[in-house]
Amino acid sequence: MGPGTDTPVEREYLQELAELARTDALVLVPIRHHSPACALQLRRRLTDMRPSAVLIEGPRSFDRLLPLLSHADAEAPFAVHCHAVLEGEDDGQRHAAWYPFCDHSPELVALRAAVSAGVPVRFIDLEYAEQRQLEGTAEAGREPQAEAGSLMDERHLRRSEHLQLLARRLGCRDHEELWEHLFEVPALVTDPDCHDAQVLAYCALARRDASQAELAADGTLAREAEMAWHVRRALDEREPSAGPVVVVVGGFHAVVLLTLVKERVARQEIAGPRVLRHDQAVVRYAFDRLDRLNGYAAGMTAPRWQQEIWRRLVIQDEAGVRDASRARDDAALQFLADIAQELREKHHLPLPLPTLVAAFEHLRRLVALRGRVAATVADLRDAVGTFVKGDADADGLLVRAVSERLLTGTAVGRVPAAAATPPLLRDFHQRARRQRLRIDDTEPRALALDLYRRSEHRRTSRLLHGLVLLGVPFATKTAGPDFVAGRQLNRLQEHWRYVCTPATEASLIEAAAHGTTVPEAVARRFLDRLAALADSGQARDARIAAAMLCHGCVLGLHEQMPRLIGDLRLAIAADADFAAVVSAAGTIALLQESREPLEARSIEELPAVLAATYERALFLGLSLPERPPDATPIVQALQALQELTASAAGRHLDADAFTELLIHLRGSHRDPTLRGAVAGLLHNAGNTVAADVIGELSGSLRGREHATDAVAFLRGLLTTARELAWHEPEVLRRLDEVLHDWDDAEFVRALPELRLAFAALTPSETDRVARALEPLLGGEGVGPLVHHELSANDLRENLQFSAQVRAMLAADGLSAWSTS
Amino acid sequence: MTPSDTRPIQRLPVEQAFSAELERLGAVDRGARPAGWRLSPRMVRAFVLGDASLGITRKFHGDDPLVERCIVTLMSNRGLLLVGEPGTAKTMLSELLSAAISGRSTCTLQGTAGTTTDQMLYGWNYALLLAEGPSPRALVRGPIHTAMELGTICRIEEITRVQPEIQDCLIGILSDRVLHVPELEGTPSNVFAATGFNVLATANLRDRGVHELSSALKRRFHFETVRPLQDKKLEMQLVKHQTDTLLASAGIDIALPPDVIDLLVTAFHDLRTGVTAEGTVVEKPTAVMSSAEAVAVGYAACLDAHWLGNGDVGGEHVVRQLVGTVLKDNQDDGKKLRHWFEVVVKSRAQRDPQWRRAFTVRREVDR
Repeated sequence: MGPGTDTPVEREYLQELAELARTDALVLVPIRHHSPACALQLRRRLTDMRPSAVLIEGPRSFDRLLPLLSHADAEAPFAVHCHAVLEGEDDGQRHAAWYPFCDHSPELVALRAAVSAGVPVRFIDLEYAEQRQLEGTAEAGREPQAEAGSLMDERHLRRSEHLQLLARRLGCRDHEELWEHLFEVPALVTDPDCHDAQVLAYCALARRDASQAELAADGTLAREAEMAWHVRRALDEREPSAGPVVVVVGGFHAVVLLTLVKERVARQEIAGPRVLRHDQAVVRYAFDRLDRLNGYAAGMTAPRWQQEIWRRLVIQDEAGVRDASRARDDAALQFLADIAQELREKHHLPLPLPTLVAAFEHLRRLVALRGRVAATVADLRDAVGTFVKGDADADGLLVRAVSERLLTGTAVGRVPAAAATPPLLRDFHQRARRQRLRIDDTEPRALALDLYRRSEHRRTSRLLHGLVLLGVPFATKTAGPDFVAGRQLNRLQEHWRYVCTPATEASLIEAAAHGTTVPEAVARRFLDRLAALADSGQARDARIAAAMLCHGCVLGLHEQMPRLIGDLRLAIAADADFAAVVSAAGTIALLQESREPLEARSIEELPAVLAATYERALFLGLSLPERPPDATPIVQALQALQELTASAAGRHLDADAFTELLIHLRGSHRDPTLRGAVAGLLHNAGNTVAADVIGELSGSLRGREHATDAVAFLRGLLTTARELAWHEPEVLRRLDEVLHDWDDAEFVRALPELRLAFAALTPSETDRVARALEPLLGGEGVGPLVHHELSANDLRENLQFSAQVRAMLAADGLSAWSTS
Repeated sequence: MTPSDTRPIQRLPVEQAFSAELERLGAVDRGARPAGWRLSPRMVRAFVLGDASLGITRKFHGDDPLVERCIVTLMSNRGLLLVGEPGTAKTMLSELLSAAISGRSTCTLQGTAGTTTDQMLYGWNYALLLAEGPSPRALVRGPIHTAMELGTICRIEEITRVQPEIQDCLIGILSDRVLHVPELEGTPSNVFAATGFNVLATANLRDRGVHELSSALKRRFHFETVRPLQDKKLEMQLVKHQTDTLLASAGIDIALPPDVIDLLVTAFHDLRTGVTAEGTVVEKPTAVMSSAEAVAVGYAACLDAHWLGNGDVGGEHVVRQLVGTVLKDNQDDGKKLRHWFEVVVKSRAQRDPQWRRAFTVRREVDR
């Protein structure tokens, strides 16, 4: 016994099933989601029928969304986005799913027809949260989904071995081509009863391959019991004289639904983890998303193709045309021409008219060979293949990409203004439109924002930064100043790339809990982050606190400033790291000076905070560690402090206090690098004359035990005042003297420090030093310092070669020749 | 070769090897036949892809829509060019199609760097030419001339190995469907292609850029890419079937056991795709790892076991032959193969006896 053999597929059974599905009380319409053929048959059926109710497969609470779904302003594609959080799950985990609608979705056709005729419509499936609960009990500990799935999953059709065998027998490559071959192609010439019976037979085959255990585990049985219960109730409520109850469900469920209704199967109690939060909203959807979603869920792909077929089917059906091939072949030709045109115009592929003619001829012949009356999308793809002149996996990639993009389409739907769109999403739409961002299609766009001159651009920038903070996939910054990290501050413009996809809207819907407007949500998220920093103990890091203040300004959260400044003051008071506090002071000064882009000038407390930070830094400077493992950060911090006192923001700071710190360090600190740096800084500030510095230098060069320590002073000095190296010939002279006195071993020991000391010089400064050396070398220059035309290897080889030549000449008694 | 020739030959042309099937298909064929075709397109399809109800075996595996596209192209006024990696059965497919459509697969030109227009179109019997001057009798017909006259498919193998100037002779023939023989006067100087004539060429992707087709010629061909088999199960069936056939025709009474076929095909899949069944990424060798090579390795392994061993074919026989297939001219391939042994074969050897046998001869890689 194979799995699911309790679903027989014998002819008599199927006939009986098809007849039972069509009584005075009940009309069961088995469908495939997004199938134009099913939509057409349903449309035909509903035009000459007056149902008492229309029941549709979809979560019960969609009933509330009916006015929106059937609204005149609702343009497909749109979708219901559902999400739920179950107990024991992290709020950040996404459990979300889409229920998309196209014009060619049978569900939407049924819904629109019923609402316009005033017939009550009800959705009859389990709630999304309940479906999640069922899965939760079946698959505990499964990975959270990376992307929201589909509520119209048709994987049972794809997995069916019977359907695979049937596809092979009929020469179709997969279930999708099989479906198109059997149902979509002959749609215009098949009558609804015949079509429905065939869909039932098709799905009955698939049902045989699904075991009861599998169906119980994935929640299918519970959902069917629920649907059957609703059908039963509608039948009970129906007046005997009223029209039939029309039930629109996936064919896979339709196969068993009648039996379940007849047997009055009980509705299942849904156990499982408690639902903490669940919500749903009608949002715009896009064809490219639908294509991908259906690809995963084994649904119908190529939505623009389906849409085009649907459009032509409706026109022909209304005109009473009973020719299955015209609508599809015309559509195929249209697509071939569009694809050829794009390849020609955008990608400069040579595709003359004869090539297009040959492609269409190819398509027609394939259709005939494959025994169909009209083209399927598979035939169309094969015909497009004739545009490829070369290897399909190399030269064919572009052609395939273009054709898939056109078959998929970029259409984005519209939802009525009255949609119960979460306020956050509505706010985003309003703001994006006000900032003239294009959010009505899925074309990626570039944007350049002039932060310094245009206040509108600053507003856009804040919106985009806010969305980045919220984790909404919408825009990415490609270039521009990064005030928070202090990089690329010389750039005046910010460059962004953005594209509005349904994922953008989905993530805004999910972020709805954070607030009703984008700034509110951004502020909430920002405060959450502050709280998280506090929890992890990082709130006491002055550098981070200053960066957060800066980030707050970038985001435009100026109303949060009092709190941020309070945090910053606390952090500065608590942080004992000299370099970190100096860095924070630099950030605060930057904020104060960045007039337009950050609009921080208006923050009154900034100068006071800066002064407090400066004072704290000076205080910490008095108690620097005696022998820091690496003096470089401290030296850099001291330099930064000196720059700060000289800057516009620091003009009110007490520069003398800094000098006092330097004098203190010169007198008391023992690290030679630091002392050298301090000497340089004092010289820069005009507090010591060059002669004193040079005296100190030569003292340190001569007086030290270790050569490395001796050179460390020089290194520190050149870090902060490197112009001394060429302005004061005495510096080099003293160094030269010392070097003369050293033996080779001592020199080699000091060499690394020496190299570091001069490493910071730019090439032109190195040249200056070289020129300054000339008098010391008796007026001769040091020659070119770098030979760009020779590599180290070349040089070594040349030297070896010279030595050989010299040896040979010597052997021949010709040494005299080699001296010239 | 003449039909009365009774010497056993190594390899029969397709139309003779499957003459019974072709006859059967012809007998039941009720479909419309394109002008000049021996069978209707659907029967051609059935011949290549098999039809159990008519007792027709499947001869080409893995890509049915490709075969349909090829058939449709041969009906049109474009030539068909099959491109693909070596060993993807392009030639076999071209022979099958020619045999089914024209009843002969031997009207063939093997493209080489030395191919001349004489070999392709026509040349002269010089003795007759000197004696009688240019006459139809003195004309030596090349495959294109013959195919045009008879209205059959002309196969050109390895078209990209032919010099571009020579290739371009095809441009006029494919678009005007006429061959000029200016030496002959009057009517015989124009050879108009009979219905049923078309060109079916193959080209090897490894030779890309050797003599790339001119764009004028490209336009006159539809290209079809033949890919290696993706389905391991299918490839196993195929390798088994073909090795068994080879062994039977060589009169050797042993067969590859299923676990050895699995080892062979798995090894080829690993090295062809660069990803092992376990998901380990290995470097792909540059050598061709086609199904045809797998058959050759399987067959040679059986010969090894039969003639030099005790007839028990195992992993070690496969590996000895596999090494010869992979190590051709590229030094790095040796390193890649060694890495595959160390990383992949070693761990499989702990679980599977055949892989253990394979691992015992890993030193062969160092030869």
